[in-house]
Amino acid sequence: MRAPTLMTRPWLTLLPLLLCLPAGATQSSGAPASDATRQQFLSHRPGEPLLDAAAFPLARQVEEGCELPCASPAETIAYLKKVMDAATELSLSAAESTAATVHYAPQGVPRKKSSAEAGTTSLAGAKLRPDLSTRLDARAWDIATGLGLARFTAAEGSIVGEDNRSPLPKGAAALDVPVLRAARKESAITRSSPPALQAGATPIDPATIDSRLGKSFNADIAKYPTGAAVLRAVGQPPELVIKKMASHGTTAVHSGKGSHEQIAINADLVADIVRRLDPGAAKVSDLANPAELRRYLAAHPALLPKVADAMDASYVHEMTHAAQYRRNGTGWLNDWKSGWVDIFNRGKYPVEMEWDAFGTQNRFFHEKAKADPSVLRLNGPFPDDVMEYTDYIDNLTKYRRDKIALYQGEVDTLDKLRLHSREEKGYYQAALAREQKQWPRRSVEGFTLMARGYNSQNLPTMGLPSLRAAIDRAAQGKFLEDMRPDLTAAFKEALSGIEARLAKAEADQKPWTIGGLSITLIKSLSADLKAPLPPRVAKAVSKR
Amino acid sequence: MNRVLPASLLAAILAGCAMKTEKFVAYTYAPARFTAEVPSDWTVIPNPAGDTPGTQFLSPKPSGARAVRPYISVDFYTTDNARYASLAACLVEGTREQPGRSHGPIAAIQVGSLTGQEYTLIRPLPQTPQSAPKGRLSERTVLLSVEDGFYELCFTAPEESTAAHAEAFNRFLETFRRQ
Repeated sequence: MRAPTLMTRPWLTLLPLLLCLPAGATQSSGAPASDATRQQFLSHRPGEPLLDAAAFPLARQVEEGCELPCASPAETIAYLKKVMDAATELSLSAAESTAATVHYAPQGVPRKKSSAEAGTTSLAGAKLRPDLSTRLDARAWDIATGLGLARFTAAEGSIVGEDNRSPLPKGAAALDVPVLRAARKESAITRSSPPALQAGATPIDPATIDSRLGKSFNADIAKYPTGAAVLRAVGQPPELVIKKMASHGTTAVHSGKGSHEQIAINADLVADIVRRLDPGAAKVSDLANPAELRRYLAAHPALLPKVADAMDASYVHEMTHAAQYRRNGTGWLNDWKSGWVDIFNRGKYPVEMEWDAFGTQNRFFHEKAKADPSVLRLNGPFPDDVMEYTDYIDNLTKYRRDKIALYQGEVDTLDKLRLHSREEKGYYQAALAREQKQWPRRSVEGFTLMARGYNSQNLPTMGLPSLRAAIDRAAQGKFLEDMRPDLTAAFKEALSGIEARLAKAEADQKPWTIGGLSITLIKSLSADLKAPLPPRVAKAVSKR
Repeated sequence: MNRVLPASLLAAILAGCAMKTEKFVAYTYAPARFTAEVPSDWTVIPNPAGDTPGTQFLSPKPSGARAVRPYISVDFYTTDNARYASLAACLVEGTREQPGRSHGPIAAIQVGSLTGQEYTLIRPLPQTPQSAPKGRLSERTVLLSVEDGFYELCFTAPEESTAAHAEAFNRFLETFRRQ
């Protein structure tokens, strides 16, 4: 599912007008600012004393700088808007408002908030030039982020784990910034971490759970060709966040672009999966609360790869959206352009992007089922992906129609949307046509895997209709001979299962009969695949 | 009581407005060689390249909460199509036993000069990562023989909204003609 980004909101096109409005049109409700206050605001440099937060909260926030990471156009615009609000708060003139904008965002680059108050103090104490201080602060944050320590400033306690294994960048040691000292400390801790930590035996910091789960997802999907291809297309995966969502039915949502991009997964759903995987979790009263869930996962880190395994196909879907966005570039110019495209299309985006994401999700699941057909069981921790896959292999045309019927207002076909490039249209047209071409074989393989999935659950007769469909489709598609070995193997597996059930029924003296439809299917499959029947099955079939 | 009467009157007027007669337009789709009348405010979505010749007619977005939009679809399978050996094979596939699915009786049907068979399939509602609606989807399927293949006509809607859109599909069947 694609969620709108701040940059794609139509109101942003009014921003130039907003910036041109004379400030002071609305007066602050607080005490009027003195000339000295206004001058302080207009000339304030990082590290200098700040305005009183109670009297001039907006101006104070502007002086502190743009909230980190402040790397996206959306954050820049939010900061610029805050400068204009502060100008109103201080009753600045229009000329002073413009001067304030230039002062706090020279050449459009906003002043960045210190990575931590301590960091700012340390740099200021070193008597660096204010502009250099600001740049160093930002650089420190970048380095900290690169080390996976961005959370350090917000989270209490230490962070220990795979997030912080990178060595410190060359030259970083020369910087006397607390966050970097912490980075060095954490890096040292990680390097000497005992094996137990890596095995997830020791409780870990809940603040690292989202990022650890993200890494588990990436490690999981990398095992399969489609997952690996999506990872390659995405490059640096977006941040993963466990979130409480408005609807229990929401699985995951990809949103944003560039540094603001994230994949959010529903805490309700993760909690459900955790309860299925770990009966002990049922004792936790509010597991769907993200903070509670993080605490539980931190105490039971071995669950992380299992949760990732249960939801990986949905994750691949959202990662495909991330790859789709990155195809168009991630710079502010592309964000600006896509904002206009959204406006012209009234917020609708191409349904082809969803069809592509669903196709990729199911190709991934197909590869996973090939490696282990037992994942096709409907009583697993997350049966939704199985249902999705069975609909996909059953009828691709209907599958796509169902999706557009549910996405309704937010999508349309590319031929009806404006400003999308010919290259983009060609890309999706080719991708969907390629999938259409590959689908008949995938469908046959899928039905064969379904049968094997039933065999693995000791429900061999349940898979017989799937095998029948697989043979009919392969014959009609003129590739039955290619598929015959796999189909025969799956049928023999089913026959062995049925034979074993009959043998057990004999031994237990509890009669077990094969249903009439199953008998018909066994006869036709045996004839088509030239597979002889084992003795008990042959006897049961001959009786009918 | 004084308040109830005007409120009832207003409700009746609003209900009357909501039940306004649907406007139909004739739609011809050359790749699948058919013409039929569809509600004028429904969206037409032809099958993507590489798929069977066919199209989907999607009803307008319902007001209120997110829900599956009822739709009509037509697919034309030529005799040499790569999917079904015959109309009968399509019928067998459509009524194959699958978890969470069931179908009603198979009956004969005549649409204009064409004859065929029909059945109604009940299956789970589609899901997306953003939405997991509860309930079942009803899919009335009509298979019609022609000399060079067969048509599969479907009316797909959540069970609870089938009746509200049944007129659209009945009109579609009444006016369906081979080109």
